[in-house]
Amino acid sequence: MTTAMEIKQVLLVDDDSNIRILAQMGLEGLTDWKVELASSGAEALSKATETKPDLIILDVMMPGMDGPTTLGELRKVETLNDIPVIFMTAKAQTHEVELYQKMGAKGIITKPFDPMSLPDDIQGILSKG
Amino acid sequence: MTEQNTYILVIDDDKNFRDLVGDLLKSRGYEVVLTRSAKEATATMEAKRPALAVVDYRLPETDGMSWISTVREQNHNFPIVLCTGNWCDQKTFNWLRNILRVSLVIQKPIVPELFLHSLENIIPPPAQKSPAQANENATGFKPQPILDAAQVEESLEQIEKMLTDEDIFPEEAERLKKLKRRIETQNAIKKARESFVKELPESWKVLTSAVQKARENPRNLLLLQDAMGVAHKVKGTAGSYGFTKVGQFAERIEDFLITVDPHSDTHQEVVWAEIIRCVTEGTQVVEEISKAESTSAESRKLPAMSCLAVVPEGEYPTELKGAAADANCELDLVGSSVGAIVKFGKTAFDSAIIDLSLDMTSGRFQLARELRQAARKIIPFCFVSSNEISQADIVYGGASVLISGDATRGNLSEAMQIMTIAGQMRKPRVLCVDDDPLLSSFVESVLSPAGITVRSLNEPIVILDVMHEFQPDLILLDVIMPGLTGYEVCRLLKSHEDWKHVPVIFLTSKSDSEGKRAAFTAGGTDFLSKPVLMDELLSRVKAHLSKTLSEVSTRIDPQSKVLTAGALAAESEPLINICSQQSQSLAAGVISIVDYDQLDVLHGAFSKEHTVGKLGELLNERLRAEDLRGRIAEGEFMIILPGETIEVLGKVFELFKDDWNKMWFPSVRGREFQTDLAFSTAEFPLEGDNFEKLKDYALRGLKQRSAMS
Repeated sequence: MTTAMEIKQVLLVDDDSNIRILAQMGLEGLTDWKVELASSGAEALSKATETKPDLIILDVMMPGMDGPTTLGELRKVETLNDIPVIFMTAKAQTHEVELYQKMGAKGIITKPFDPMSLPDDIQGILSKG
Repeated sequence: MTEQNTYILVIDDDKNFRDLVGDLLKSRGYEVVLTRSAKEATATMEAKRPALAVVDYRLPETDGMSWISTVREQNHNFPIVLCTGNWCDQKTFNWLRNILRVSLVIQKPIVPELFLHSLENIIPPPAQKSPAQANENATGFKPQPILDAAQVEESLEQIEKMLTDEDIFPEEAERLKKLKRRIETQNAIKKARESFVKELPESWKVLTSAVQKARENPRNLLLLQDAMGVAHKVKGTAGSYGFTKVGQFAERIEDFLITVDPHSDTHQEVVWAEIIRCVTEGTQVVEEISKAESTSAESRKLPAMSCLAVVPEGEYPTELKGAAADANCELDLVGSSVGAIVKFGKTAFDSAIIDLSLDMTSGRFQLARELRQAARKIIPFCFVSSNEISQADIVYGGASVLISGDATRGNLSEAMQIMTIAGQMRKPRVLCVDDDPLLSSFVESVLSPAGITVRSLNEPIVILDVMHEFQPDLILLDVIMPGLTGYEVCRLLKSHEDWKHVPVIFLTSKSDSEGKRAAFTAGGTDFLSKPVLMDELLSRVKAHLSKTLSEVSTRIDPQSKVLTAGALAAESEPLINICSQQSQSLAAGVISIVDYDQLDVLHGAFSKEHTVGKLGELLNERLRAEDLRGRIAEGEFMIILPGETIEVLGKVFELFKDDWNKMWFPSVRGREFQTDLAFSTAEFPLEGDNFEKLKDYALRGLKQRSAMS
C-alpha cells in the first residue's frame, strides 16, 4: 500500500466537543500526527491560516458557517486552497457524497465512527487519491 | 457489494481432526483448505487470503500461537479460532484475546453441532446469511470489547517485558510498540466514554424536549429543524462513543422527523406516534445505561457486608478500620451495649463484633441475643474476649469467630471474612456468567430481593476458580461472549465431577432457534430468550433452584420461624459434605417438648403454638449463624452444629435449658406454666454419615431415654 502523502499536522473542525475529544484521541493515540482543534468554521479559517495543516477534517453540520461553506471559504484563500479536506457527517446519502466531492472534498467519514480505526479510514481515503 | 469470502483455512497435524472439521464446514457450504503445519498454511495463504482460520494449539515445528503471532505481525486481521486440548489459564486467555486477537477458543474434542454453531456466529455460511448478522453490519461499527483496568495493565506489562528482551527482532519490537499504543489509546477512549455517559441523560433530555416542542407546534418549521439537528447530533456522538442503540434511536427519530410535513394534516399522527415511541424506548435505554455504568463503577467497591463493632471507645479503631478495608466490609463503631441496640434498631447490620467486656446486659451473652432480636435475622457474631471462654459458650452465644487476647488488623479482617461467609451460608446462590454488565446488574436487581445471592462473572475463563469459591446452586450462562462461547463453558462444567449436577440456564438470543438446540447439546438444563423478562427470569430460576434446594418462601416453618424438615435436610447435606471433606466432626441434636400433645388439653388452645414459637425464637437468637435449626415434627426440633462434637453439644443443651427454664407461658387455668425439654444427640461420622441416619440415631436415643424415665 502506498501512502499518498506525509501527514504531520491535522486540523479537526467540529462544534461538538465530545466528537473533538474522541477523534483527537484516536488520531494522536495511534499516529504521530499533531491534531489542532477548531469548534466553528470561522475558527477553522483562522487556525488553518496560522498552522497550515496537511489535512482538514470538517464537520458538515455546524451552526453559523457549516462545513461546505467553510470549504468554499478555504478554497478562496490562495495559500489554503490545496489542503485536502475530508468531511465528517452523520448523513451520507449518495447525492450528498457526490456534491461534496464536486466541491473538492477528498472523501467522507460517516458518523458514528470508530475512533480506533479513524487513522486507517483517513489513510484509505487519501490513498485513493 | 462484493461476494462474501467464505474461505476457511484449517491447520492441524491430526488427520482425523482435519477431516472432521473439513467435512463439517463443507457441509455448510464453506470453502475449506486443510493443512498440516504452520509452514504449509503460510504457503497456502500466499494464494488466497482466508476469511477465517481454525488453528490447533499444538503443531509440529511452529506451534499454533507462533503462527498466529506471525500472521498478526503481517497485519492480517481475519478471525482466528484456536482449538486446544486443555482449558487455558486466564493469563494465556487474555494474551490470546488481547494480543493475538483470537476470536474464539474451542475445547478439543469438539462437539460438531456446537463447533459449527459457534463458527457460524463469526462468519455466516455462504448460502444463508443470518439476519442477525446482516443487521449488525448495517448499524455501522461495533465497538471493540473494552478491557478492564487490570487487563490493560497486565497486557502492557507483558509487552514491556517482551520489549526488554535483548534478542527481540526489530520488526517484533516495532509491532509490540504499535500494539502498546493501541491498548493505551483504547484505554483513554474508555475513560472518555465513562465521562460521556454522565452527559448522556442530559443530551437525551434535550432531544426529548426539542421533539415535544416540535410536536406541540406542528406548523413551526424552525422547531422541527431544531429537533432534527439535536437528533442528528446525538446519533453521531452517542454512536461514536459505542452506544450504538442510543445512536440508532436518535437516527430513527431524525429520519421520522424528516418525513413530517408541516403543511399537511394527513398521516401525521402515525409518524408522530412512531417518533414518540422511539423517544420513550430511547429514554429507557439511556436510563439502563447510566444505571449499569454507575453500578458497574460502584460494584467493585460494593461492600461484602456491613458490620457493627461494639468495642470500648478508643480501643483498636485503626485495626478495625484497616481490617474492614481488607475484608471489603462496611464498618460502624459503637462504644456501649445500649448504643448498639439502638443502632441495630435503625440499621440492619449484617454482622457484629462484640467485645465481651462491654456486654453489660444481665445474663450470658445477652447483648448478642438482643441484637438478633433487633435485626430480626440470624446475624453472625465475632466475640472479642481477654478471658477464657468455653467452646460451648462460644457456640451457644452465636460467635462464628472468637478473638481471644489482642485484636489485630489481621485477625479482625479474618473474622470479618468468616462472618461474611457464615452470613451467606443458607441463601441460594446464582452465578451469572455474562460479559454484559447491563444484563448482570439486571439479573442481580431481580434475584436479590427474592433472597438469592447473585455473583456476576464477566470473564468466563476463570469459572472454575469462582465455582470453588462461590459454590453456586445455579448458573445463568450467556452464549455469546468474547473469545469463548457459553457452550464451551458448559461443556467444561459438565465434564467436572463436582459441578456436573449444577443446573445451567443459557441466555440465548430470541431468533436463534439452532442456538437453543445447541444449548441442550452442550448440557444446559434450560434456556431463556433475550431480552430476558423479569417474571420469567425469577420463576425459572426459582423453579430450578427448588429442585436442588427447597424454595426460599417455603423453607421457613411459619409457627417456629426455623427451617422446615425438608429445608433442614436439604441444607444439612452441603454442611455434612464440607465436614467430611475437611475431616471434621459434626454434632446433631434433637430437642423434644415433653408432653407436647397434651399441652392444649392442659393449658388451653394455642399453648402448643406458644411453646413452639418461643422455642424457635430462642434457637434463632442463640447458636451461630452457620448452625442449622429446623422443626422435624410437631413438638420436635433438630439442630446441627458443623465442626463440633457431641460433648460440646451436650453443654450447649445445658445452656439452652437454663434459658428455657426462665420461660413461662400463659395458661387458661389462670396461672403460667413451664414445659420440660428432652435432648438426644448424634455425631457425624461415628453415628451416621448422612442427615437421615443422624436424625434416626438421635430419635432412637430420645425414645430410649423416655422409656427409662
